Amino acid sequence: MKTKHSYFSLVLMIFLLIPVFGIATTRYVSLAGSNTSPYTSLADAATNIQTAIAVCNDGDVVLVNDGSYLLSSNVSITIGITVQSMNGAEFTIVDGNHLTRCFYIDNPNALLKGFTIQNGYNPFDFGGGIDINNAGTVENCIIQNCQARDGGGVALDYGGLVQNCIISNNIASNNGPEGYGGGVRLLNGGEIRNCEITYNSSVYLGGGVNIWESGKVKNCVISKNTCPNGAGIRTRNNGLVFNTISYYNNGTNYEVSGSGYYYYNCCTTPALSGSYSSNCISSEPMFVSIISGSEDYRLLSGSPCIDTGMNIEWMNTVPDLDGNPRIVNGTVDMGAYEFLAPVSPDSDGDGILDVDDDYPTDPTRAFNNYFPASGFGTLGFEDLWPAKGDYDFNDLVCDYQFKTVTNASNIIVEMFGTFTIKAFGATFHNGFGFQFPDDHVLSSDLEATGSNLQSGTYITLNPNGLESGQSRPTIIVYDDAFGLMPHPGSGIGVNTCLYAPNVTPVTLEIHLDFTGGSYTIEDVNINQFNPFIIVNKNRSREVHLPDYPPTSLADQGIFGQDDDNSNPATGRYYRTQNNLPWAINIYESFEYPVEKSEISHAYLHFIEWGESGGTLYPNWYQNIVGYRNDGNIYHH
Amino acid sequence: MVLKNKVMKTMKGFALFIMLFTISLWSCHKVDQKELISEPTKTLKDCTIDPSFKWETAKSVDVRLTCGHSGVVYIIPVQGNFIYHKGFLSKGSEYHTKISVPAYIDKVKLRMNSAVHEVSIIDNKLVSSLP
Repeated sequence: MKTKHSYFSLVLMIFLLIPVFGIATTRYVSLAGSNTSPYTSLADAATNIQTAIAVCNDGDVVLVNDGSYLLSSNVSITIGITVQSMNGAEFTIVDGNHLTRCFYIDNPNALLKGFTIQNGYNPFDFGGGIDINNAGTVENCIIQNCQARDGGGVALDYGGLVQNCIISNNIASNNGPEGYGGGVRLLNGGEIRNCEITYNSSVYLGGGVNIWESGKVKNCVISKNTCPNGAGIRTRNNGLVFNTISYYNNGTNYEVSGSGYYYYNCCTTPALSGSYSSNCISSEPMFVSIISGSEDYRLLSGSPCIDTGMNIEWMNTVPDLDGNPRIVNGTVDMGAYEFLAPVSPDSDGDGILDVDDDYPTDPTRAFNNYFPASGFGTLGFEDLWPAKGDYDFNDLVCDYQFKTVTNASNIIVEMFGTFTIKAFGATFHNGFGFQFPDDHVLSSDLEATGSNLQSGTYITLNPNGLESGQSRPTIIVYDDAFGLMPHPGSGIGVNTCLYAPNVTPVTLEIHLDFTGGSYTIEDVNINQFNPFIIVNKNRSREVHLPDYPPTSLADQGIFGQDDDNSNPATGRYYRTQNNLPWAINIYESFEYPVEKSEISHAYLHFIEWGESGGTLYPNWYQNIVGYRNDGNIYHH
Repeated sequence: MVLKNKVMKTMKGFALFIMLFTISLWSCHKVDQKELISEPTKTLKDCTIDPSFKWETAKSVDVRLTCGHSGVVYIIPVQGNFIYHKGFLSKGSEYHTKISVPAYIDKVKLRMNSAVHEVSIIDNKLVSSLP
């Protein structure tokens, strides 16, 4: 009986002592809660954070549901509890409404985690967003757009820890000349780790960080902050800085004052004095992006900040700002983010990661490059040369694009030329071809397929598919447009007269295999290819773009006849006396003039473009209001 | 009867007003269209073209790049979703290539390992040292 009684007393004592020794209770905060104490379910949740904290005991957890919590006075955490968002800072906002500081923390076991803390206002005191007094921890928070005299974003006094936070756009100002630490101010202790501190400002000292006495900054990025005295970080007596990058601030990246300050394994410029630094560098940190509005403070491969920090014990348990392990490859990186080697595989082992490889399973090919890069270009020709034509540039209208395939060493493997015949306002049976622009490439190193030649053609090809008798590689795409697109029965030529039936354009593809040599894109220079028409099956009569030379098979005796004013000795080709061309190459797919409509009557700024030497209306060919007369442009 | 005539008169007047108003609007519209597409009075025969003008809508750009590390470089437009050029840069050696861009383009972006830099084209040359 005595034993039974003793057992009952023990159970009763344990039950009574539970509140004293702290079995943690989870309390809830939600804007949709019923505000029913003790707030132990989401349905009964308190509707503001302070109300839930008021009923907490040490060790309790306050979980805050998604939403924006507007404050009229700061939330005070002075007992050892965790106040945490349910779904992270992205979804849970505590807003000081430009009236009040957002959080006050004073307990070594207090933890604030996972909030966006914004618009805190405390211009005559400490901490616009958060003030940690003596002790307490803040982590995984975004602290932004707050203002205080000391610590616009966060103030730490005599202790406290802030880690894995983004602290941006805060201001240290008393609305007068005083301001200490736009992002963070540390006074007589405190530590910040793995934080990104950017775009903060202070009117007096320390735009990003101001250490007044004895604070520590570890593995932070401090960039684009502004202040007249230490735009990045200002360290005074016993301020210690580890593994931190302070770069690209608007003003000095660092400033020192007093004594006992020291920088370990940091990256900043100008170089830190050896009297108060060790293992520091001044070269650029190589962030992924420093372009305003799209900054990314992760490190690029090859950054001098990789594996050059100082390992510290907490790094074994605290991840980096991305949540990845803080130490990779044995030595921590400088900055807030640990560099992780790209995870993209290289399936074909050609040295180009699959993410960059247009042929991830083919080790002989790596990249596609296109000319024009944005899509098809258009060539327009007049075919009455050496006599002037009607300048509708539609005796042949041909869209084109080249695809050049290179390997991992940037050597060309093959090339595809795609040509779409859209129209030819001609009675002549014209052919079309192109020549490489210079002598870099040997014809014998190429094999061409895809030429469309009619039976009994006037064109002679070598066994490798290139035209014979040429000094430079020359490819004939087709020898007679009428053989590909028959005349529809009315109209001049095909697809130039609105009254005539439309004929479906024909597309031809030329494949060029680079069987010999090692040619780069620069060697081949297909951007400067030399296209031409062959007029009425007369192989010696070619029409080219202005100042592009004829091929070896052209009759140079025609130069100078009729309206032609070429001068081969000076490289002047296919121009009239007043410098008009017989052909034009347009970088984009072009809607061409109807038959007998001069191009300047379809494209209204063409003449201004020409007379200005290309400076006025360089995009004259685009479909922009006021640029063209649609009535003179072919549509079907 | 007198009232009916008055109403009829008023209705006729209103219809006439609507008709004239519509015609006037239409006329104004026609004038606007004509202004919009007024053709140049000059023809190509009459224009003065400098002999050095090449009639080119694009320009060929010499590209010279160096980089402190190896990787794939993309030359991309400042605006637009396409690629002017893509190739592999080796650390320590100068990369040469040529690209063609519309004549009115004077800036492009270089992207390498996710880092993006905007670079100007000066005298048909694109020169950059990537970090």
